[in-house]
Amino acid sequence: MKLNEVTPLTMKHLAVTISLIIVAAASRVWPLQSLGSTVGWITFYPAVMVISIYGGLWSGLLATLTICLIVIFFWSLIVTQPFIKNTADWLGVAVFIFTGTMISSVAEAMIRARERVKKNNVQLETANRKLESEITQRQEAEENLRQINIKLEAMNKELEAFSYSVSHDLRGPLRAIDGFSRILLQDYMNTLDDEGKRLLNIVSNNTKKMGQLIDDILSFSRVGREEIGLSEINMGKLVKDVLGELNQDAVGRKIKIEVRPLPDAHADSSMIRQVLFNLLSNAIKFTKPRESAFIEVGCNPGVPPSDKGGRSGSAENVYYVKDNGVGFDMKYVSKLFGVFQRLHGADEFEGTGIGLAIVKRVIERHGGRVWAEGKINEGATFSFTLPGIILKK
Amino acid sequence: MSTEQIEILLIEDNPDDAELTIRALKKHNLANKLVWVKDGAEAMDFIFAAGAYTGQSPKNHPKLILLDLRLPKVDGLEVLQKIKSDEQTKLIPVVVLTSSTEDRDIAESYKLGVNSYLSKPVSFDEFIRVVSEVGLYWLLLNRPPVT
Repeated sequence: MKLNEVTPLTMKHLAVTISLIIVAAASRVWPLQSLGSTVGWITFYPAVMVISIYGGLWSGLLATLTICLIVIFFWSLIVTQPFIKNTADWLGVAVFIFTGTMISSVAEAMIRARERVKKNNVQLETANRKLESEITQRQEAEENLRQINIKLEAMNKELEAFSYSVSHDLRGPLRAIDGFSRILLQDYMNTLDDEGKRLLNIVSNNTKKMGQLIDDILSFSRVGREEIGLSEINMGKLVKDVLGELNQDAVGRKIKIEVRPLPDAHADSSMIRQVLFNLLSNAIKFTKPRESAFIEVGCNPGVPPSDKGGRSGSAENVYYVKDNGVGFDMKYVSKLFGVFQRLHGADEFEGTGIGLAIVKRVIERHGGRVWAEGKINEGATFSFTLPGIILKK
Repeated sequence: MSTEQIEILLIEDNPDDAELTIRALKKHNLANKLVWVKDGAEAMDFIFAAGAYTGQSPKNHPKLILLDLRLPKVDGLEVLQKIKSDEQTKLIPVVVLTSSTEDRDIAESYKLGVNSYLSKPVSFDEFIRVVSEVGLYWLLLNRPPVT
């Protein structure tokens, strides 16, 4: 026990000590005096106990010593007969001093323990309060984030609606430009010279291009706005259907298409059809320079994530479309999925560059990932994942 | 307004689109008995012989109605709903010819009983082809019920 940690002896402690000693001595004198010396220290022990429990070590020791002094020197002044009459009584003094010291020490230890508990409680409370305020802050932050998210979603919807209506309304005037320049070409065939015809043809070609761009924006926007309707999709069958649709593009070419076994997917079938259509038509398009094209559609079954909560079948399947076409430089891989991003000149391969952007949008709306690997002149592989679990919206 | 039987009622607010449509139909001699109205209200007046068309025989129905959806005054879908819910007019074939490709519009049109839904192609050639085919099909190939 370190002395500087001991409960200090304050005036209040001193006062309590003295009054209790007086009470103890007084009650020893009357009414207990009449019982004779057989009761000895009977009132002084409790006094020391109460004093030391109240005031700690110093108060206890002070009380013990004061009581000894009183009984040894001043007792005969209070009452007629002395407290100490024989050797046994001196032994009693020694026992009292020893016991008093012990009681004071134990009491001090008790006080200290109590204070420690009190201090710990205060600390605990502070920590609790801090934790509570942190939780509140976090909840507020989360709420804020939610609000911002809702706002963002609304803004996004608005933007989608805007881009939709703008591109939609652009079609009318475009139809007029194309239509009337064609009418001019038809009705004034004889009065127009070759240069005039050439210029009108440029107008007409560009309206066609712009029409295609508008249609692409619209279908890109539709992919973002439409609700996802989930169903079981037989991917093998869907790939065959899409390849059937693409037959026209493959006429007169030597293309070997290998479709490996594909696991079913749980997704929006019309959107996934579009994904497969875009990937496969790209594969057919970009293998055009090859004398014999090879296209492979397959799936690497995913490793099920650690089976938390026993969600079986939550494996993520990686579907891929691989070709031996012109490929691309991995330097530009980040541009590949952007809207209207093209890595080839318009005279090399046709297209506006919307196909892969749509693929990315569809897959990401399904909670999947999409990526590409390729090498110039050695072909490209486009992969996408679809989670096997049931998605919410 | 002449009382002779008209064949096509074209409801179209955009004069350019109307001109292209009429031109396409003319190529196949289908525009001789065509009436063009520019908004939904006028269309209703014509079909139900009201307003400026009062006095016209209400039995003198066109053989085909070409209907745009985005129309001033009375919306195309409302016109469609009125036509298809009236005993006198519900058998007239109505073909929606609009620039809208919204799934909602398509679904709503079919719910109201449209006979066909076509979106206007941007390209002139396509537009001419679609309009001609519609005219040829509904006026020459299709057999309407005898009323």
